[in-house]
Amino acid sequence: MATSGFAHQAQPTFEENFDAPLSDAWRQVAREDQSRYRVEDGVLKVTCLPNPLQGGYLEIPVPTLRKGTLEFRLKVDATRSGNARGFAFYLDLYHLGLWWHDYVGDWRRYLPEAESQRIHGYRIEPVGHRSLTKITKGVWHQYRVTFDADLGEIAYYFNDMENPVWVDFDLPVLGRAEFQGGVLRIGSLGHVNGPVEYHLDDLRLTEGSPPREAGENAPSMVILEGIGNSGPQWKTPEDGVRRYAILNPAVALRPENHFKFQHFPTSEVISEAKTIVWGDLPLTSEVLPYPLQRRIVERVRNGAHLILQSGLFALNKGEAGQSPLLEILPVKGMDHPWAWERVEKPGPWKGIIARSSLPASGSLFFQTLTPVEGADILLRSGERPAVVSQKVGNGRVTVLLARGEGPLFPDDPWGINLVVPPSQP
Amino acid sequence: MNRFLALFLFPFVVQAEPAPLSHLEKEGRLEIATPLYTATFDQKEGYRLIALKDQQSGKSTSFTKSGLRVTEEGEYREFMNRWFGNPKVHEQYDAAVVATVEKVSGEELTLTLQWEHPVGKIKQVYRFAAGTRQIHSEVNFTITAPVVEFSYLLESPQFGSSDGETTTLYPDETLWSGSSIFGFHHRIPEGKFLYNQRQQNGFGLGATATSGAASIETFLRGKQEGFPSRLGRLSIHSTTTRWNPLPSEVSLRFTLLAGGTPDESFLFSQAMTGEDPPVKIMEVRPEKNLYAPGEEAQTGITLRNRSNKVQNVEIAHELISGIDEVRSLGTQKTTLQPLEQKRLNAPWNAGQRLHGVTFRTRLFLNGKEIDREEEVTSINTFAPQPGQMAILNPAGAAEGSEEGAAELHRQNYITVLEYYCWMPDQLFDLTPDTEEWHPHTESQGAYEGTLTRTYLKTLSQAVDARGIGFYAMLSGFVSLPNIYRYPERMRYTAAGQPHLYNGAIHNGKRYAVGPANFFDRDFVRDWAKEMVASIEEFGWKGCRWDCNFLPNVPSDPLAMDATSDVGAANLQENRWYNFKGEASDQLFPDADQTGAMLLKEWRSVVAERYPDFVYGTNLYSTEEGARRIPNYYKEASNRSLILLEYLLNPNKEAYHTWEKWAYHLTGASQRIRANGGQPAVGYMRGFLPGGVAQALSQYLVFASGVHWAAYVTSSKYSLDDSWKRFRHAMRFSEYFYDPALIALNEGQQQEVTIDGSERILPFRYQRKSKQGRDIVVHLLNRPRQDWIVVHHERPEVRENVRVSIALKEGEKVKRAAVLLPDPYPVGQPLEVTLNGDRAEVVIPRLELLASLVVEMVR
Repeated sequence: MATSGFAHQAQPTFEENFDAPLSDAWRQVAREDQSRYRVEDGVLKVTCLPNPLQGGYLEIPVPTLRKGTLEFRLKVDATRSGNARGFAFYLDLYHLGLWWHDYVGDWRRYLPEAESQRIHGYRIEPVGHRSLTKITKGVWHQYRVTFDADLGEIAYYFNDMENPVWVDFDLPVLGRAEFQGGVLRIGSLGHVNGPVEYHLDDLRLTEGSPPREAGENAPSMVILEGIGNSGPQWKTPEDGVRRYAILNPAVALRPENHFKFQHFPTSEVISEAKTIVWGDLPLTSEVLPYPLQRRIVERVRNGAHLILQSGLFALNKGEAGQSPLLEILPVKGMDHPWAWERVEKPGPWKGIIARSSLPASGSLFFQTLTPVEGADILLRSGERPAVVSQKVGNGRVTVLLARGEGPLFPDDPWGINLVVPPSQP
Repeated sequence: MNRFLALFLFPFVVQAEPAPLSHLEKEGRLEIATPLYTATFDQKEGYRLIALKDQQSGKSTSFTKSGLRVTEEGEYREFMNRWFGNPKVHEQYDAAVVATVEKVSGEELTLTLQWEHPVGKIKQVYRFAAGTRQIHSEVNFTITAPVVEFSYLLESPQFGSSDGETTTLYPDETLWSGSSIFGFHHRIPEGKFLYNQRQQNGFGLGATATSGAASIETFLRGKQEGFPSRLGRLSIHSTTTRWNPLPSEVSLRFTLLAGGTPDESFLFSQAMTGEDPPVKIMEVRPEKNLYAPGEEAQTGITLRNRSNKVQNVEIAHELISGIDEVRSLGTQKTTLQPLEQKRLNAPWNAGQRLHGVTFRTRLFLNGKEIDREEEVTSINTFAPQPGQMAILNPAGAAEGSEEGAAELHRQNYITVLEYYCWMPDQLFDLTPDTEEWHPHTESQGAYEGTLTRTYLKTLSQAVDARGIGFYAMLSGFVSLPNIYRYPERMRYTAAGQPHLYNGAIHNGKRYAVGPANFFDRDFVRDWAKEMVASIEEFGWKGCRWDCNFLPNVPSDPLAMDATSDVGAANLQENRWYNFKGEASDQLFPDADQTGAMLLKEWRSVVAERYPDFVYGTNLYSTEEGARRIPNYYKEASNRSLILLEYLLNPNKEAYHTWEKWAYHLTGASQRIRANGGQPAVGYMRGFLPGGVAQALSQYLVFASGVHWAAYVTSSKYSLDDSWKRFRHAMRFSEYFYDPALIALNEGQQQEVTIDGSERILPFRYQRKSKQGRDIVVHLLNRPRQDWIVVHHERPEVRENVRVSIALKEGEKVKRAAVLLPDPYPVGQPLEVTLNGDRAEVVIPRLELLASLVVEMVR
């Protein structure tokens, strides 16, 4: 079965469709009681047996690519045996480990990282593992991993080949492969209750990254949707918009929030957007890795308009810390999370809004932030700044400091038309 | 047409012009034609029966699922530190089946099917005869690996519960059967028939007393219940083969009815049941599981005349309370026409004697008792005491399913049914303004559902009519829209963000909830008033909180144990902030006092309007936990329902043996009952039905004074025989759940000694009475393995278990009895012998559970 990848456009440097018995280039290092590998019905059927951390493997040398794309299809626990209660199947390319947690039901990656990068809540898992996305057992899923060793950027795609489920930066995908040569390894970690079967197909490694599909245009607007930016009032304004939704993915018994985007914009998507909206979102690296935030800063300097929404999770409530966005914001005072107030009857409104649109009626919450020197206060409620903007290089950054239950401007929830016409950044 | 007339028109074997039988195999299908019908089998799907076509009317019934289904035993043989997995089901339609057709005579033909599963070999023979719609079938199964049961299934989308094309189930003449996806099981012998009134076609399935069958399941479902199609199902289930030696040979015989009319179905049923006795009590059904003292009650009595004659019968009713206190409730006379099934109502008064009772009906024909049947119900003022607890959630919510759901819980002796995750907002909206809404609660991290006001009200009424308390679950979480509407009401993280407990996006819509800052008196009063308004709208009889009023601990009480280290680090982890950034530990320096005060306030506001409304909560109830929050613990357990969710997992090292689990359950139970509360442990998941692990766990929970809280999915007479144990616990709830029963402490254990086997686990209690005291000892017969969640062989039956009780000065034994659960809950008197200053009794037989009651006077 053909993948939805780009193999038809670029010649793979390595390809295995499992339509014929495995060639001699494959080397099996596994006993019968560790893991079994057989080609059948045009797929590789891998049976993992209970043998914790001694599961054996199958490997093949592959070219060492600095920039490339790995694609495959995989069905986890293909026969729904009931034994998939831990984790077993893995697929390693160079230094990058891809594995599947059967009990949790997710796809994970492993790359060596510093102790400081340990993920909150994971105390026994190795530092360097990261849950990428949920999977469904017993069905085929399409996977793609693009990597650029020089940029240190790795993007992980799952079913949706447009938007990755995670993006890594500054991690060594090649590692020792740079001087030892590349290997692709399929194996078992052995944490299963009994035999568990995994089906793998359409495995290919291609140099470069996939070209854009015919007819696919770069989005002109990227909306990073926050917790409070969903529902009918937060409609998407026009075509050419790509919207990314944040999740609070795990039960949080204690008062600590953790967020993850369902999908991520890539550097390429950011570099081509004309408008970027940062919703009611923290500014942490957990939400959007700092390297991607730096891409946003670069993009603004090159002419894009960045609009930041107020809310319960954003701006001074957004744990801005060392966020690269801080250097281009038109407001300061982001380290005071409690500097906010409810105003029951906001107004009178004064401002220089480009297109007329009335702010929401009823009470609003204002974040108390100070405009930086030279910033334009585009809208005030009495003396309180409500919309502050400034030019940054060839672009502009605008901050909406107030909101109610819904958006500050019901007619223009994202604030893209109200402040500065797109033609005058 | 009356059924008496039917006797003449449709005698037992339906008369038809004899004609040769034929069979034809083409295009992967085998057709067997008789003068009355054609049966079609699909070769590609293991020769399962896919259609029955009436030769006269030309109408056809198709079966989307059918054939034999084998359920492999799925209990782990070794302790795996986890619940059991799902048992594997082997379907006939997946098997490679070999078929042989043989003409026995011009009027009889057999179809023999043979196949193998990994658990054994099966041979099934269908016998077709020219002059009848009855198709007899015999299954011979050589079992080579553990199997719990096997069944024969017929499932058709042409039949279903009422949605314009009414299907009636005969001979019951009911329009619904089953709940959600679960059918109702009926005892064998029986023959059931589904008939579509509009299409005027039907099919039946039945088995005789010697068939090897345990039950017949009937199920009807309609599109209005939210499913894409209607569904009618009949299935015959074997007696359990769980304990069969391997390999073993078992057989199952049953009969299909290929079409016909409702009148024929009565004859079919008679053919299955026989005529001895000619009149039978089909059901004794007190309408409620719980009656208030003095309440005027009704018991429905269903009689069936299985003979071809008019029968005049008399029925006598009695109520048995305590161990064996009998109260006569009078007699009734009635006349039954041939084959008639009749339902009578027996009125009675619940009286003042509390706890479980048996309602017994005896049937007399010509002055001679020919049958008797009994059922257990209860009399109490506090719903959590006599029965068990169950849960429903919006995942199974659909209009049309309410009666079935309520009946399923009635059959399982449930007295508290919690409805989980039901409201648009757990704090601000317990009275939805719209007919339809999407509940917005913490479980929507996992799923999303739709509820309607009509459904919830109808379910409430159906549950209430069955004497089951309908309880609203409250998690204290604020929904996402209200987080933005009332941010002052949220608890904040150190970063100044509302704490989000959980969230997800379902069908493009975002759901999230966060714990509320509800720690002020005025707001608590408002919330309680919202609860009162909700009671008025939906008829809630109680509530069950999954939150607490304790500042500085996680909102979910399940996490309260994580707060046992009250050091600074722990406080720091749990510290939250109000809207202004003030820290919770500074706002509420005495969490225990604050929590107790607020809870008392909430309860008193609700009680002002509804004094009998029951407060329930999930609560961490260890000795240390209760000591840390003495005031809150006392208020929370004061005549409350307490869910011990933290004890639900007997895989945990702290609880994973019978003895350890019993120790923790009994300790918690004693602390809770001291305040008049009733504990439940749950929600118990993952015990595979019908095994020793499930049975002993339930008995252990009862013996500890705790109620079983679980999703109820199985009807009476199904493989899951939990209902039998729930029945026993209700009947003798006085001896399991009376708060006056105090466990003997370690120093008192020698006052009651057991001489039998070290595998007997005793639970010793004493209760003060007006004239002296009672000793109650529950004896649990443990299997060889100590692990709870593992496959067990049935423990060796203990005989002549001697129990010795130290008498206090001036004490005499008034009487002794043993309470036994099988086959019906019964109290049997025991002889008492004196041996010095000790009284001794001998319990003749202990299978899994026996409870000794010794009453002593001064």
